[in-house]
Parts: sequence; structure tokens; C-alpha cells
Amino acid sequence: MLLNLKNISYTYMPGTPFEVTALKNITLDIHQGEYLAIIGQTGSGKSTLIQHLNGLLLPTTGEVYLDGHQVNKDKKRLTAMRRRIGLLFQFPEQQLFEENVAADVAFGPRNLGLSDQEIAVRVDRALRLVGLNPSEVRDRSPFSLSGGQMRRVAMAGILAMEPDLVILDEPAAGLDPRGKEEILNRIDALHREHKMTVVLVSHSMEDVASRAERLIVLADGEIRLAGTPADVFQDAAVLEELGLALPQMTLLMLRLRSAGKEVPMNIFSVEAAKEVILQMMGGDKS
Amino acid sequence: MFKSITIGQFLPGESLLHRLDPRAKFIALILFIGTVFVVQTFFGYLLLGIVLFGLLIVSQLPLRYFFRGLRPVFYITLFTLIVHFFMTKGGEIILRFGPLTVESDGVYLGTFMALRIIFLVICTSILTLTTSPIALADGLEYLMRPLTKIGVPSHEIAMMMTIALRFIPTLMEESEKITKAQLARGADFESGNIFRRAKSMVPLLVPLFVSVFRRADDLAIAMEARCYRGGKGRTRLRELLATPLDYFAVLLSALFLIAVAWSQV
Ligand SMILES: Nc1ncnc2c1ncn2[C@@H]1O[C@H](COP(=O)(O)OP(=O)(O)OP(=O)(O)O)[C@@H](O)[C@H]1O
Ligand SMILES: [Mg+2]
Repeated sequence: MLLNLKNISYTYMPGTPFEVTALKNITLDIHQGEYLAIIGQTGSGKSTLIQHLNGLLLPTTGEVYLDGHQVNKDKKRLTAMRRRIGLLFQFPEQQLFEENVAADVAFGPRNLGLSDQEIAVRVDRALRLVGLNPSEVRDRSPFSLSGGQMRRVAMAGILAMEPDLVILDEPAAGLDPRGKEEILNRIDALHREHKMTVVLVSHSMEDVASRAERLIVLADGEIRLAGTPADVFQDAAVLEELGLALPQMTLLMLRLRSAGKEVPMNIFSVEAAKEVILQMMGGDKS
Repeated sequence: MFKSITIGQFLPGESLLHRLDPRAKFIALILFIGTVFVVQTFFGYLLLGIVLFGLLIVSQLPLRYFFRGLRPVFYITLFTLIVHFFMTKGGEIILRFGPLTVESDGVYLGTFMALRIIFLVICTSILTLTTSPIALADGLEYLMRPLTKIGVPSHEIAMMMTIALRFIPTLMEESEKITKAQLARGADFESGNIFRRAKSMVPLLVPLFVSVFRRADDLAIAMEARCYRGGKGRTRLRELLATPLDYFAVLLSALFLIAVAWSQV
């Protein structure tokens, strides 16, 4: 077990008229090597929750454990925690600041105190992981890149630290469909090929349905549903109430079920749906 | 790190003070500031304190929040007080620390100055907490209008003020977000000597400046796209309308100033 959150609650600006309780009594475990997706509407507390995973926010009440040790205010421990757990913020292109891409990606590894040689190797590797050609972009100013490229550079900046766990807050927000698909596929590859533990925040079921192994659905700062995507999608009524649209293929499967057909729920791509329907029709004929 | 700053913050509400015309509140503020300066005795301050407390109650502002916001000012005041205690000489010697002495004139003057600062901040805070930034700027523009005759660009000043006030919270939010993003990359803003610390601010300041310029650019384009061309001949969506209540508020403030001034001679 990598991280445990035990009954955590978080209140912004306590004691003022602007007080907001963004998280209420959340209990969550994150296991080594898993791919977890956190889903919820705008304002449901997703960004607040993930900031607890690397100690940027400390819970108002409740406890966070990293490898079984409780996380507290201790500065050194917090810094150590942040170096092991990479967090990519929403719209991370805002955080770029160096004069060239290589220097920006190197900022994290440099803070880890690595040697220049090791840093150079990691920068190239990280840039390749996000689908950029190091020799092409290395010397360019990050501010001369397109939005999508900037986002990849920011992501490389996190990956170059080689964290045990990478948390991505809406990495695909505001990208065109192809850019979105591409970045999500890169994350998939990190998880599958590099055995990276991934926590992905999204408000789109469609994006995570076929990718994540486990889903939690957040609403008003509380965990409303949790389980595998197929399990969670069984509760169509709850999801609808929360204003979260089901993936197209899940809607199709639900329709088929309500028409009395025995179809599996873990179908998220058009191809898989085609298979199921062909099988079903073949079955009917015989 | 900016969480404790409440000066300039606006708390929406429905109280009498919230509903007053911003111009009336501005004039009343000036009259109150005048009152703070004419007060010469502790009795005068007691009177002023009671009136301001009454206003606070009428404004329905949460008291705890209000006084917590004064905390930074309190430290400045404390500093003034200490400086006065040790530097202002005259009267009897009250305390002696080696070569340093605290004398009665210093205590008297120090306390007086401290009260003056606190009362000034309380008056101003009541205004800003009960008036939206837009209303403030509108009121200010109107009151500065006579000055346009001598070349003061009153509309432009008010517009600049509105924009600045509008973007303060945005920038604070942004700087908090960028700070967190760099912390997540292992940045350390707090250790090392002053030069290292100054250097560690670069990853924070560059993105912040980039964002400020981008925002300024976007705003300029958005304003131009809507044909903004300065104050001349511009009409407004919300006309300021003074009611008898507003005149009454100004009159009361003026009477209070006169009464206090009179009692102090
Ligand atoms: N810095 C802050 N100060 C005060 N309140 C905040 C702050 N950040 C978030 N909140 C409040 O906490 C609640 C949860 O916000 P959060 O950013 O975690 O939502 P989210 O699920 O990430 O939403 P989105 O999908 O829009 O990113 C919201 O009601 C929000 O207004
Ligand atoms: Mg968010």
C-alpha cells in the first residue's frame, strides 16, 4: 500500500464568511502499480483531494499515511514526499519559467540534487515519454510552443523526477480530440510499460472508462461511488443525478440490458460493442 | 500566505451600510477621518469608538472576521507604540532600562498615535468591507469629476482602480497555484541565505509576470472589441442615485465631526 487517507476533511478559509468545506470524511487507499481515476463535477473537490496526496494540503481533520508513516507538518518529510509523488496541476503550462525547454524539465531533477549527467539523461527520456523529440525542442523557449506542446513539457518536468506515483489533474482539458487521445494514451503507456502508479482526475467518463482500473466518483466533497468502471456504471441513476454522462457504449449496453439481453458491462469501445452485438445476433438466430 | 489579508476585501450584504450610495460613504469616510484628526482627548476617542462600534453593528459584518483582519495593522501600531515609548522624551520618568527611559509624554503620545492609526484603519475597513470595488470606483469617479476641468483624468483613474481591484484576488489565486506547482516539483522557497531565497523566487515570478501580461493583453483586446474609448460621452449601466437617506448619513457624519471638534476646544 502506497498511500492511505483516513477520514480526511478539508475546509478552505475556516472561520471566515468564505468558509468552504471541500472534502468530507474521505477514506481512500492507493496501491502500488494501480491506475485510479477520480471523477466528479466542477467543484466536487477533486483538485483539493489530490493535493492531500503529496502533502501540499494537510487535512483539517483525519490522517494521511505514506508507506504507513503519518504525514505531518514536518518540512523535511513533506519535501521528501513531494519528491516521490509527482503532481501535475490543472493547466500546467502556467508553471513553465525557464529560458529553454531542457532547463525547465530539469528543474525538478535539479531539486532532487542529481548530477548534471543524470539530469541530461532524464530530461531526454522524459521528453521522449511525452512524445516530443528532444533534439528538436530542447533549446526552444517554452513560451514559443503551442498549448499542447507546453502541456507535454510540463508533464515531462514531472516525469523527469521519476516519481513512484504520478497524479494528473485533467491533463486533457482544453485540448483538441486528437491531442487529448494522444496524451491519455501516453499515460496508459506509462502505466502499462513502466509500471507507474497513476491517479488521473477527470470529469469525463468517456476518457477514463476503458483506461482506469478503479474509479471513484466524488460529489460535494464525498465519495459517492467506488469500484471498477464496469461496477460504477451499473449505478446509472446515481451518475445521472450527479450530472455525469455515461460513456456512449455503456449507454448502449444498458439499453440492450433493459431490452432483456444478457450483455457484459465492461464494453467501452466500438469494436468491443460490435463483437458483443454480433455474438448476440448470432445467438438469437440459432 | 495571503490568507490573513482582509483589507480591501468586500463582504456582500444587505445592511443599511451596504445599501448607502458609495459617494455618501466616501464623503462620510472623509468626515470621519477628519474627526479622527480633531480628537485631542481620550474621552474623544471613547466617543468615536462607541460610534464606530455602533456602525459595525449596523453593518452586520462578522465581528471576529473584522478584528482578525486588523491583526497586521495591530503589529504596525505596536511598533509605533514602542518607538514612541523609547524615543519621545518629556514629563516624568516612568521606567528605566539602563540608558533607556520611558517618559510620560512618550506613553501619552504613543498611545494617542496608536489609537489614531487603529481608528483610521477601522473607518476605512468599514467602507471597503461594505462597498463593492465597482461601486467604490464609480463613486470615486463621480467625486473626482470637478477635477477633470483642471486636467485630472478622473475616468481613467477610476477605471484603473476598478481593474486593479478586480485582479488582486485573481493574482493571489494564481500565485498560490504557481507556488504549489513549483513545490510539487521539489522547489524550496524557504531555506538558504537571502540571495538563494531571492533566486528561488524566479520560478514563481516569471510565470506570474507572463500571466499578468497575457491577462492585460486579453483585457485590452476585449475592451477594444467592445469599442471602449475612454470616459467621454460614456453612459453607465448602473446610475448612482442618491436617496434622502444618503444625504442624512452625510449630514450626521458632518454633525458628528462638528460636535467632536467643538467638544475638544
Ligand atoms: N483556494 C481556495 N480557496 C477557497 N476555496 C476553494 C479554493 N480552492 C477550491 N475551493 C473550493 O473548494 C471546492 C472544491 O474545489 P476543487 O478545486 O477541489 O474542485 P474540482 O473538483 O477540482 O473542480 P474543477 O473540475 O473545476 O477543477 C469548491 O467549492 C471551490 O470553490
Ligand atoms: Mg480542479
